[in-house]
Amino acid sequence: METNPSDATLLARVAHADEAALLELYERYAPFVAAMARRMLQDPDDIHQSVQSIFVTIWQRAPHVDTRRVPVSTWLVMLAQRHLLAQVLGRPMETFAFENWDIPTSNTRGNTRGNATENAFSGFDMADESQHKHLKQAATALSSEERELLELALFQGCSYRELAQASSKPLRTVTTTLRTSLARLHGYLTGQAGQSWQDSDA
Amino acid sequence: MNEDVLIAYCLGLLNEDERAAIARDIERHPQAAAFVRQTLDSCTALILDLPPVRVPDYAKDELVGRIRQQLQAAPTQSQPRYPHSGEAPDTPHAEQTSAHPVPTPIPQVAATPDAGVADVETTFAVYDVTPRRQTRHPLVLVGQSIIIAGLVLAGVWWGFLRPLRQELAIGQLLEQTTRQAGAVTYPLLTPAGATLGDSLGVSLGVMVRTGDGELLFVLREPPPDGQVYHVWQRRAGDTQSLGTASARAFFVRRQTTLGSTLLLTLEPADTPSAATNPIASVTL
Repeated sequence: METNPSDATLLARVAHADEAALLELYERYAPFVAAMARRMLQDPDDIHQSVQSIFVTIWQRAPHVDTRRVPVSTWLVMLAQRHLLAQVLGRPMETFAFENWDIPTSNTRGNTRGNATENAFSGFDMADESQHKHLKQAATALSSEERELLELALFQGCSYRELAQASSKPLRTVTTTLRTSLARLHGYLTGQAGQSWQDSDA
Repeated sequence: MNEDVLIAYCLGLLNEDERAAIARDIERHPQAAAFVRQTLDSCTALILDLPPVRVPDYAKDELVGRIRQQLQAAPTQSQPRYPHSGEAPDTPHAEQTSAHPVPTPIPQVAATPDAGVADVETTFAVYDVTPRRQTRHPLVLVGQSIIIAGLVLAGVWWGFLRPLRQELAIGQLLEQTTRQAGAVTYPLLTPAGATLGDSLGVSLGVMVRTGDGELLFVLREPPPDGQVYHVWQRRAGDTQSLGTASARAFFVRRQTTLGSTLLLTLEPADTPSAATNPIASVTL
């Protein structure tokens, strides 16, 4: 058996009802899901139960995910964010079928691990420790103010208008800040720091 | 397409109607899909940059228990949508509403003591929930003997199978107990005040109080050799022993009182002690 299987391999095994694979994914991602839950929820028991529920959902939905189309890390982490946000805002968890969308410039995504093309980002894989360093470096691309705005939106579900009120900035400034900070973050992830979305899409 | 709207979609800020409209647009516009993917990747990076929080070991048992409970509740079998890792689906947008294949059910843990345990520990009313042999019909005993003989011959396997079975059974039992009406789950708090919420890894385990006032303890580790866990109840200045246990998971078959404080001590198996140095405490 593979000693350090990729996230995609583990998720494929989870789709075959492999409990050991789910527990391996749990070991890799539960600490980050718990960290997010702690930012979003107050009650320790809510935090614990939410983390568990998220991984039960992952177990249920694993057969529906095509890892050629979406990195496991992105699918799993954003599924967790949606689950927790639904709790914070007291609404049902939204349908979020982005696993079905392909990225048009990508044609070499047969394996999500380590085969990114020059301008494409293949997502993180917890089996690859070097990616952690890359991730940390990318995160430094954001100023504390940019990060705070993004985190308020991601973890508290603050609308643009609420973000404007919270930061005492005009609405347009808030949307521009979010757009440019996400673009910069993606630029670092793809090794094209400083390029805009339009540049990277061209 | 407006990038601000797509970003709002990625952040989860849109209402249901807005989300549905954007989802339709994304399917029609590959560039929008690419933008969403990239934005989600960036959000993922931000989340994975959070300082990780250690998750307690018992959480894995609990997760397995929940999954197995679901499997037993949904006994239909089907193949996964994508049979092999990295294999493209024939129909990318086809939906599948199926459950995972059903594995062999794990035997239920006996939540009552066998005779041997009861003789020793009835006075304390604390029962080890680790699976044990029970009194059976002679023919059943013969069958069991054959099975046991096989297991002895396969000693290496036994070394792996029994702990696994126990762990799965404990997870299942914890799940079942927490779902009972009136059950309340308490993280086990150290007297110093460190809580499960401070760090999901420093807890000693979890305790569930059922609606009947009985207790299920699931600790991260069994007591060291030669030692036992001892449960105490303190109320109105009076401390009462509820019993001892030699396993990491056990029931306390006594009704406890709301408002009282439960103390957990670790002590030598053969030496009575007082609740002077608890390793955890819970106020009901």
